[in-house]
Amino acid sequence: MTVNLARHIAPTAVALAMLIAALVAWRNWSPPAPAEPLTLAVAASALGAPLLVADRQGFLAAEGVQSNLLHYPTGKSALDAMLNGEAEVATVAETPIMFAGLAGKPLRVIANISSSTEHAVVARADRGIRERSDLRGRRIGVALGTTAHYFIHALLTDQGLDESAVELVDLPVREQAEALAAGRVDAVATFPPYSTECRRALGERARIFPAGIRYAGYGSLVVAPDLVERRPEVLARLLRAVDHAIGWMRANPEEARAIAAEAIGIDSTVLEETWDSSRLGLELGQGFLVLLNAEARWAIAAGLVPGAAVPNYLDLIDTSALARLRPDVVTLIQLR
Amino acid sequence: MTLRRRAQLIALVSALIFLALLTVLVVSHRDWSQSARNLALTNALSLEIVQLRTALFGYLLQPAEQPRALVDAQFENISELLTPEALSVAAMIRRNERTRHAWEEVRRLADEMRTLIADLVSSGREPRFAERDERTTNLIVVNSHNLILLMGQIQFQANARMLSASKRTNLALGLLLVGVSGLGFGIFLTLQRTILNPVQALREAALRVSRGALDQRMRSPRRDELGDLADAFDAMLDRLQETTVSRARLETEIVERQRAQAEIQRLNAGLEERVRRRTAELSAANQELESFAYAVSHDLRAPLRALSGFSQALMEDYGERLDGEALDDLQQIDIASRRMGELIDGILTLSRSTRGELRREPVDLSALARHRLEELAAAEPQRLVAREVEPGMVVPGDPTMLEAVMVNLIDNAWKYTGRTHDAIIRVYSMEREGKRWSCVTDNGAGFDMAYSERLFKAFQRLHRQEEFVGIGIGLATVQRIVHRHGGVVVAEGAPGQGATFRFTLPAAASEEPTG
Repeated sequence: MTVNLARHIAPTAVALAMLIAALVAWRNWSPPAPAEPLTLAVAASALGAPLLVADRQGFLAAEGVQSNLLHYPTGKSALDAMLNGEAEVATVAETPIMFAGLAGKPLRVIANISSSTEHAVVARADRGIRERSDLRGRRIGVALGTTAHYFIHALLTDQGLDESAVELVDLPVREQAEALAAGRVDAVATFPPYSTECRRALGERARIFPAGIRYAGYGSLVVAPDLVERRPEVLARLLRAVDHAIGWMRANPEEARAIAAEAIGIDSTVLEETWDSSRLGLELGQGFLVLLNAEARWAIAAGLVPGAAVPNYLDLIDTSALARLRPDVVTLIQLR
Repeated sequence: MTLRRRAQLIALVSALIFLALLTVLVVSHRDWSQSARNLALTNALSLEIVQLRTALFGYLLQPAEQPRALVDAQFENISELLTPEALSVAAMIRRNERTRHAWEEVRRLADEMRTLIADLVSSGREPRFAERDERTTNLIVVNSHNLILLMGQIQFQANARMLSASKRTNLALGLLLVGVSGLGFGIFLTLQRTILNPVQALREAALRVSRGALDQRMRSPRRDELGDLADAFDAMLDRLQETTVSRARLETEIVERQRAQAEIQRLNAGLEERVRRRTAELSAANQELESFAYAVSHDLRAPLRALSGFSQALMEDYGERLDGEALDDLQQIDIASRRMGELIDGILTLSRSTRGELRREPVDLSALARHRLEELAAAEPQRLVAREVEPGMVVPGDPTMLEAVMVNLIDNAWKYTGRTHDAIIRVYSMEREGKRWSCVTDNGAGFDMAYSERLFKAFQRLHRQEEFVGIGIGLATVQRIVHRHGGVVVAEGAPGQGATFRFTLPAAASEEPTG
């Protein structure tokens, strides 16, 4: 009798298990959403690497984002493109955001994707620059309005100096290496990969002053305010893809570097030098807000934005998309 | 597969399954233990970091030596907990990329903060470094905040991991229990299928057999010990059935025999009674018959003698006066009365031949034969008869009766060779059918075998009186004597070619036949 019972139980159990599996599969199954087109303005630096990898590795496509990547030399130019309506998303560091905030430009930071201590002053040692303090009175090239602009301010103030102690020259990033090599400037405050180009241009004559922990910039994803309202789902997909890409990049740094280098159009070894100074990770933390405010105070104090007042940068930050995906990394004190 | 092999296989599979489940449990438990250590470590670190922040805030609010010492002490505590040798946490980190990142961030931030505090201390709070100090303070505050948040993430992960490890351990324990139960159930099912069911079937078959169903057979298709047992059971039943059938047949036979024996005994008892009765009746009848015969022969003699005497007297006294026909009649009366007298003598002889007690002693038949032949030759010297008597023919029997036998047989041969030239009478013995026969043979008239039955009947004759005189009592007497001895007498012959009479007597003394 027991044998017969067992003979009946076994097929019933299998059938039941299959039914449950089918139900679970049915519950979890949802038809793939149609791909959403999204135009992204990406800086040709480590800043834009997570988006480049997400695009090249198909993480964006996998999340249903039909990406269109536009490449720009800096985050600032990428942000400008977004503000001009050429793109819907931009990768940009905090300084251009700060300026845009002071200018009252419409934007929303939806996530930081990296923080970086990669900024550096590349100086000509042959002109007697040995220490940071030797920068006093020197002619220093910098792309004004970029993070490098605030970085040289921070570096100088750390030495008890200010911008008046040096001669700052607005120098677009792509011209910096040539200008430094030609001796038109004594030093350049910049960020990778241009800092590496500058060092290579000088060769043995280069003297590097890295930012170190004293100055950490942030790479952010910035979108137009209405995009947050109109297309929250595409932003969620974007963040999922970027999160995926960051995880992949941490596990596969060499491949990530190769992909970024190819996308940017530079040699992989150029990126390699400064790669480790960039820490990847989705977050929206208090440090970012503190830095924005500090930079804004500096910009106003330096007269870079005449008549401007420090805005509430919290208004430029939209945590909703990231909070849905990774609430644990949204550590901003959101007091308005 | 044999039961032993099957049992070994089950034990092996059970041990493997049990070991596998046990391994899962042990691994899960080790994982759980490690998770517990991780959690303890992260909890301790979290506490230290909270205290670090408190110390930092204390220093930032009051940049003095004592708060500074507290900050340094906290950094030391944290450094001890953040050693790369913290293996348990390292193991946790290996498994979770985000935890690893958070852990690296914690280490980095802790180091950075130490540097930042050092920067802040070294600046000496000069006004030209005010912005730098503010920036440093901001960084310290933000980093300490981030440190706590990161520790929160790590703690969350550690808790989650602890929870999942607990779940896995519970699951492994459950699996082990279910596995062991399933194993037990499986073993039970296997045992039931391979042992209990066949044993039950065997038991039921044995019970049915015990109730007499001997045609019961297992006919097991199995090729293991129980299959062998079932085969042996079937073979045993075959033998049992054969034995039982034979026994039943035997019992029936015994019953039949007993019945037959009882019947025989019953019949025997009746028969003996009947024999006794018949014997008594027969003896009485014999007695009566002999008395009657004697009386008849004795009593008939007187009138017969009178008849013969008176007819002779008539012939003597009135012979001259009687005519020839009357004389013939008288002669016929005389002959008839003589004949009647002979018949009466014959009856007497026959009746006397077997009277009296039968003695058993060696009798020399050769001597008897020689003596009789000599008497006959002396009585009729004119006859030339060759006589051959085998010497030493000694048989056990009654001398008087056997003498009567030999006399009758030799007289017979003498009489029926009366018309034969070169007559021969031979007396000899021979072996036939395992018996020794005593024979008397002649080359006289012989007889037709078709009538041989009549030879030994009293007063029955195969030859007319005119050919050979006689009353037909001799061979009847021979047969009666031989039969009384328990022997057999046989006559062989052919007309004109002589006759042979042979008889055999039992060597050992047997029960004297009656009648």
